[in-house]
Amino acid sequence: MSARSREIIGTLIGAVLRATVTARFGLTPAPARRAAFALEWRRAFESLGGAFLKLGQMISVRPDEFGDELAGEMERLRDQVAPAPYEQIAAVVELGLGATPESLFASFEKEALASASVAQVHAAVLGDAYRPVWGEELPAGAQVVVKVIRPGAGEALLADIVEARRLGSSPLMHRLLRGIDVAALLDEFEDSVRRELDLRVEGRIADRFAFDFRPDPKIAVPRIVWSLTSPQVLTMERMYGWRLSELDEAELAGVDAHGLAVHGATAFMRQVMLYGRYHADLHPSNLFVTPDSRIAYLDFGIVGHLTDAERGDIAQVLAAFVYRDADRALRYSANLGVHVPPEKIDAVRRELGELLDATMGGGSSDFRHFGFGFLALLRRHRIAIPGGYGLLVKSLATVEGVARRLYPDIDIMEVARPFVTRMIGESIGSPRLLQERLPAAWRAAMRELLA
Amino acid sequence: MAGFDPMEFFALWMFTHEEADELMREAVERGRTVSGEGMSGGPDAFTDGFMAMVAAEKERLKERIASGGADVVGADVSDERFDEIKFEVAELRGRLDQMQRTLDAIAAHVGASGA
Repeated sequence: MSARSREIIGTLIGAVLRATVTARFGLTPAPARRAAFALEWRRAFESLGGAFLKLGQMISVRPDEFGDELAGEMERLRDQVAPAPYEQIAAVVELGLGATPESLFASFEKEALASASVAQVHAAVLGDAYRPVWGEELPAGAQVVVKVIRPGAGEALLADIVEARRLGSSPLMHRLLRGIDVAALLDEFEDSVRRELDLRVEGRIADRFAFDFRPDPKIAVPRIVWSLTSPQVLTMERMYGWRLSELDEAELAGVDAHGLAVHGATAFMRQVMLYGRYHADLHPSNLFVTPDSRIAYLDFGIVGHLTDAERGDIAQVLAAFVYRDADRALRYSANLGVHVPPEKIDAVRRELGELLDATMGGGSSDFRHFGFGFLALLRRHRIAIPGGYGLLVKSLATVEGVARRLYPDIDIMEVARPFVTRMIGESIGSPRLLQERLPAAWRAAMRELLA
Repeated sequence: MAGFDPMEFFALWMFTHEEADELMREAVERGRTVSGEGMSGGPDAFTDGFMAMVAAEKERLKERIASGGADVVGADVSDERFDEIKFEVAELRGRLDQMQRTLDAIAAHVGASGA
C-alpha cells in the first residue's frame, strides 16, 4: 500500500470516528448526525487536498446524489494552496507558448494573484493588440490575467483518482459510502478533471457565453487571448470589481444591487431556457460586480448543457413550480428521467403539492427549500434522480442565494414566471406539437359543447 | 326543417365572441394580478398568466403597427443567423491563433534542442 493510500484511509477513518463521536454514536437526531458527518468529510477532503478538493467541489453541486447537508458543507471547501514558485510557472508558460513570459507580455507579475490546487493566476499586460473571438479588440497595454496549470497538478490528480478507484472497490469503503455508485462517480469525476486540465475548454466556453450574452450590456465575460493560450496556459482579459462577499463596499460605490439581482437571475433563466448552456458553479467567488454595475462571470469550470427537448421540459417543470401544479411537475420530470412508479404516484403528488404550498406560496417563494425538499422527497421514495436534474436544481438554488446576497427580498420564481410562461406559449406554435395536440383539443372542445 | 336564418347565425357568432371576450378579459385580469400571494395554483393559474402575457404582447404589437414596424421580426432572424456565422468564423480564427502558437512553441523547442 502506497503512502498516499495510507494517508487517504487514515484521514477518512479519522473523519468517520470524529463524526461518530460528535453524533454521540448515532443518538443525536438525524439532521445533526448528517451535519456532523458532512463537516468531518469536508475537513478530511481539505486536509487530503489534490483530487479531493476537486471531488468536494463536484459533490457541492450534486445534492441529488449526496444530499443537501454534504453538498452544502462542500460549498465551504476552500481550494487555496501556496503558489508554485515563479520559475516553475515560467517554465510551463515557455513550454506551452514557446517563449518566456517576459518576452510574450509587456509585463508579467511574478507574484500570483490567486492560487488553487490545479492552477494559479498571474496578472500581466498585453504587448500586442489582440482581436478576440467576440467583442472589442484588446489593445496593446490591456490588463490581462494568465491562468497556468501548476506543474505536476494533473499527474497528482490523476494518480489520486487511481488510488480512489482502488480504495473505492474495497469492502470498507463500500460500507462507508453505502448507496453511492463510486465507480460511476469517479468516471464522471475523471472526465471533469481531464476537461479542467485543458484550459482551452474553459476558453471556448467563455467565448460562447460572451456570444450568447452579446445583446446584454449588463453581462461581462472576459475576452480570451487565443494567441497566448495553450492547454496549460489561458490568457484572458482582467475583470475588476467586487466579489459578492465584498458587496458592502460595492454598494457604497453606488452599484444598483436590486437591479443586478433581478438581472443576474434573469440572465441565468436565459442560459437555461434560451441558450441551453448554463454556468453551473455560480458560487460568490465566480461572480464579480463591476464598478459600472455589470455582472462579470468568471471560471467556466462546471457548465450544464441542455438539448432543445430538455429545455422545453425544464420550462414545463419550472412553470409547474411557479404555478404550483404538482401534476405538471411530475409529468414533465418523467421526460427528464425522474420516473415515479405508478404505485407511488399518489403519495409523491400529494407530498409535492404540500411542499409547493409550504415553500412557493404565501407571498414569496423559497426555491432552495423547495428544490432540496423535492430532491429529498424523491430520495425518500427511492426514486432515481438523473445527474443533470440535480445539477439544475442546485444551480437554481445557488442563483437564488447569490441574488439574495445582492437583494434579500428578491423572489426568483417571480423572475422565472415570464420566462417559462413565454417559452411554453411559444412551444404551442411548434408544428409537431400542433399535430400532436390539436386532435385531442378538438375532441375536448366538442365534448364540452355537446355535453 | 326550418330555413337557415343568417341573422340568427350572425347573432350567435357575435354572442360567442362576446362571451369569449369576456372570459378572456377576466383571465387576463387574473393573470395580471397573479402573485405568490394571490395565486390559487395549478393549470388555471398558468393559463391566466399566459393570457396576461399575450395581452401584453398584443399591446406591444399595436404599438409596433402604429409605428410602422410590424415586420421587423424577419430582420431579427437574419441578423441572428449572420451573427452565428460570424461567431463560427471568429471561433475558427481563435483556434487557428492558438494552433499557430502551439506550432511556434514546438518550433522554438525543436530549434533550442537542435542548437
